[in-house]
Amino acid sequence: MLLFIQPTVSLSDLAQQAAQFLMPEAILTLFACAALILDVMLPRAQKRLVAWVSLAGVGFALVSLVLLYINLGAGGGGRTAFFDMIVLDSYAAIFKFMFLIGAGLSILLSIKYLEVEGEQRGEYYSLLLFAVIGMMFMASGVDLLTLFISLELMAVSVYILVGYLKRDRKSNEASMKYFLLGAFSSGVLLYGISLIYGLTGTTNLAKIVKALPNVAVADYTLFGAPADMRYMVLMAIVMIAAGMFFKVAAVPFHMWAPDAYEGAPTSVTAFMSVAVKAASFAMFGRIFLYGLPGTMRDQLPGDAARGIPDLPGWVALLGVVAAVTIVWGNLAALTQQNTKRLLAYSSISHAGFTLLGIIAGNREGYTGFIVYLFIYTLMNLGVFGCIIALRRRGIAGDRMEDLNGLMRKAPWLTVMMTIFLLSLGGIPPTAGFIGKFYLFAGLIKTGDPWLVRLAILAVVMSVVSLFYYIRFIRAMYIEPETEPQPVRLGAPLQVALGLAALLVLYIGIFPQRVIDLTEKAARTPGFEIAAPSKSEPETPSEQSSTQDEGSPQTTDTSIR
Amino acid sequence: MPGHIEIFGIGILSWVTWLPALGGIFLLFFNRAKNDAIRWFANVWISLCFLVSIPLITGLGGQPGYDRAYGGLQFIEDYEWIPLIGARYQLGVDGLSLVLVLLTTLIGVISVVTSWAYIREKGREKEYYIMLMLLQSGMIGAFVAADLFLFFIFWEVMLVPMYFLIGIWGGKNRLYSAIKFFLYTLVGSVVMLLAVLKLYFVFADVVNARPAEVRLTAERNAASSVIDPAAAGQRNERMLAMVEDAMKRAQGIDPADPAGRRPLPPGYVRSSFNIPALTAIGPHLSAVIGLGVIIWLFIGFSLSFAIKVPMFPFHTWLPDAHYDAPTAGSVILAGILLKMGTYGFMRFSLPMFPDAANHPTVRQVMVVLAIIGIIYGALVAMAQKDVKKLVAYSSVSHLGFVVLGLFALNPNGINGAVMQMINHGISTGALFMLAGILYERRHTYEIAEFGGLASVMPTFSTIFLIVTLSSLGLPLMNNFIGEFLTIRGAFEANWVWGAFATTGIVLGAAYMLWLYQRVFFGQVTNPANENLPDLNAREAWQFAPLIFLIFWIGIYPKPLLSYINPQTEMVVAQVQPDYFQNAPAAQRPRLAEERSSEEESPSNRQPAAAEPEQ
Repeated sequence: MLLFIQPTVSLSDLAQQAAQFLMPEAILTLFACAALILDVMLPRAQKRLVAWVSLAGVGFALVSLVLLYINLGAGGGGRTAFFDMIVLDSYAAIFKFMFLIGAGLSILLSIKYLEVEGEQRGEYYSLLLFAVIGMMFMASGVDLLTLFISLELMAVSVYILVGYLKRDRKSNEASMKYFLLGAFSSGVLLYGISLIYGLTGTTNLAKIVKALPNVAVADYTLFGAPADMRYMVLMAIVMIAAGMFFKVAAVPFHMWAPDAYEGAPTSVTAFMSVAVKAASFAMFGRIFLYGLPGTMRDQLPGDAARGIPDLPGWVALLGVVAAVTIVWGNLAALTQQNTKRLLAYSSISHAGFTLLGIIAGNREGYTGFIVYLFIYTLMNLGVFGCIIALRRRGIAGDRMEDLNGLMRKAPWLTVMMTIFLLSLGGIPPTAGFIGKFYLFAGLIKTGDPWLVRLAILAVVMSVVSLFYYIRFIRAMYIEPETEPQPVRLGAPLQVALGLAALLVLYIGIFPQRVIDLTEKAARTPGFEIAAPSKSEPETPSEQSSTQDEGSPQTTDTSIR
Repeated sequence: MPGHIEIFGIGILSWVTWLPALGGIFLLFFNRAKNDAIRWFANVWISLCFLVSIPLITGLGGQPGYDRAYGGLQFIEDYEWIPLIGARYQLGVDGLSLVLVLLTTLIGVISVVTSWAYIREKGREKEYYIMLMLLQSGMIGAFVAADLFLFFIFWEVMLVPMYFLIGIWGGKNRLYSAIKFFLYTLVGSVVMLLAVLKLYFVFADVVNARPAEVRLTAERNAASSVIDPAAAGQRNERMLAMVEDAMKRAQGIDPADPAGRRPLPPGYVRSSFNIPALTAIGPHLSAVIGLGVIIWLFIGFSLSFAIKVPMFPFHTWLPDAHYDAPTAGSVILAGILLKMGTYGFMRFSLPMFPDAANHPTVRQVMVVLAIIGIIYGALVAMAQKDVKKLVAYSSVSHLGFVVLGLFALNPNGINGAVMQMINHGISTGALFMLAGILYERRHTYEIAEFGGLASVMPTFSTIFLIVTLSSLGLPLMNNFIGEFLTIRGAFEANWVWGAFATTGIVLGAAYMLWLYQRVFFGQVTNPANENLPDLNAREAWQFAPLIFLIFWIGIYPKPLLSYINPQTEMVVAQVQPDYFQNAPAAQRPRLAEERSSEEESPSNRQPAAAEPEQ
């Protein structure tokens, strides 16, 4: 932290770093401001232009990101900058890629939606871009403060977006709920961060990793027992996890999600359900895999001799939360009538599935974690895009009955929707299957009986999820038409949906390229700290359960 | 030489698999109002798909067809697909899957032809034919896949079109039946996915722990015959090469390197989904994982297949699905989809987990469930008031025989089971078509609505009689052979099993004949039946191939058996390695010769192995 006041760093160095590391973010900031200014200058009828300008911004950011990624080299090794607060590695890059794709598709979806709602205004797009900027820093921050500030940048923008339909009561209510609960959860998160800072004296994740084992157990006694500071670490982990669980909408911190998803403008719901979730997961992965111990055994050699018990780390916590999330999300979705609310519960359950990858803690798991989020971005945006297409004059389009007989009205839209739904349910040959395949592969590979049980629970629940995805399909194909008003997709929506559907199918049939990219991301150096197959000297064995070969027992006995 | 055919540089199995789907894609671009064009196109196209599958047996322009002298997979196609997972695009058929593929293409034609009038009445023809085409591709793909990942994809893909077939064009309760079918089968397959993953992670360990033994097993599986000395010298080198390729990957060696020393390049995973390779590690699984895990893996696979078959406690989806499916759907369901389950047992559960399959408790449980299925299915069938439900429950009973035969774990039982699979497809498919014709005439399946039809519809009742007699296992007809072999196998394994199974045949005769009596004999009591038209030419001719097969298999089953037998022997040798040592007296002398010929064979064969395959 004190690096800030070091006099040796010159401004030109900083500028150079900015160009090397933050080009996409800088471009986005520029375009976000431009969108704001344009919005004031343009007459009402031409506000659409702002959307195209923002889209161009996303496009440019994408190009510069790709250039940065290529320069990153084959190793994908992280380069840190700005006093070790930002890292650019392939993990960050692939998440940024994900956000930009999500943002681009969301803008395409929004154009038509805002038109129908009569709310086509520029600040919408600039807020969206600011949220994306926050997300991108969440992916590349390696300092708890950077991460927190970027989280807030994203969250505040999204709070406003959720309440964007000023005249709609539901939208206002959703925004209020989301804001209050979100602010509270940020507080909890911050408290966890402060505990970590108090224990280790730093907010930098790399330094936290090195410092945590040393705070383990003090030599002095407190109330007659050795003062076990690890309980403080545990508490900090729980606090941070609680804050993150809220952001990714994992049970029991999911209460806001159905209301916010239902009330928010559909295009914002789409954006929230993918990009916000992916960004929160990026931060989640960064903090937990990079900075905090999965299990806390044998912090220091000799602890066991002093009769100090092993403590569970976050793996057990995440396992329970993932199981509950998957079960509750799927069961609650079964009874929903409103499609947006249903998809909110489904996205809760998908958050649970995504957690499985972090829990597995091996290469398959990490790959699954990233690839699943990537695929989820595409397919969930697609589903919401189809629901946006149903929004017509006088028809909200978010009731299950609005889908009735869609096959007759819009066969191509129906086919695309079917692809997205089957993908969400994990049916091959769609991309969703590849994602689930990797998540389950990670769990099975560990060979841990509890994780195998978790996998069985998860697959059974994925069958349950098919039950409600099939309800959409039933309505579209089998139910008779209930209202005759035709469905018209605008060109932008068509492009967005077509692109997403093709990608979902392409990744489902030829996943090699995407897996290759994500595997590189899953191999970034930070992750090897979490999975010390090459055994870091400072962290002997506390994460042994996250090892690739699943040999925790042998490690344990060798230490004892 | 092992069969290998290419048409325009693409292997014939790819043609057979993808041609129906291609037709489905063409159909997408038809104007949905031009129903006649769509119908004609679908009929012609599906017939074309059948014609393309015929060279599998006959060969094509000098390219060899299936050669029964070789064991293992033929017509192998092998391409890179997802190296990071280790999945490859590998196709191949052995005798078992060849027969099933041909049955599928034939039933495909029949089911499309039989929909001619039904679908005209129901409407939405374009989507209907697209779904049938996609279903056809999915089913064939599952039979020809030689890569477990590919198989799994086809296995799940099949569900979706079938859901639509039942859900859109089905009967009264179609929504319920469709979702029940979908979810039941899906539960099985996702559990299978976990077992597949475990097997995939174990593969490399087993190969590295017992490389020599795994190779020996692979060689035995590729050999033409386990017991026939005349054929023992021939070995399916192409399939063996595929297994070796998978083994090299598991050992981290680049299979493209002839010297076999270069390590696997980055971007490749050290495991494989190759089915023959996974079969080859079957007997050696216990080197790496305990019996408990093997049994769990067996359950993971078998649950999926047991639901598909369906075996006794998992059968409840079947009557619903059959009852509400359109005729073509029922025919495909009975003819092919149920066979997926028994095919899965024979291709995966038995040979991949021999330790579990041969475990006395596991075997006991499976056999008891099969026998319950036989008797319970027959009794429930007897109580039905509805033609289609009766036939549906008779399927439960017949497929109980198949599972019983498989778990008799001897050549007679397994041969009988495979015969029974095919026979059931033919006879029950025909019964569903006949029931469908009744429905088209009267829009009801209620048995009490009919009576005395023999005088009104003579051709129809004749065909119905033939199919009924075939279904109850009259000698000289197809089911007799299957049931005879199955029960012989069951008696050989345990006479109690055989005794129980025999009651199933008696009950089968009872409900089928009673059905025939109630529908066709007596006076015409219901005035609605007085002027029912007899079969027209299309309706009559669509039965011709089925009736031909009924008699052919019944009178001269040897050709069919000769396709199946090598695979059967392979499975038995895999599951009960010492079976042929203690074989019935008739097979023993040949065995001694075979052993001597095997001892000298490695030196003879080695040069042949080095030769390139093409």
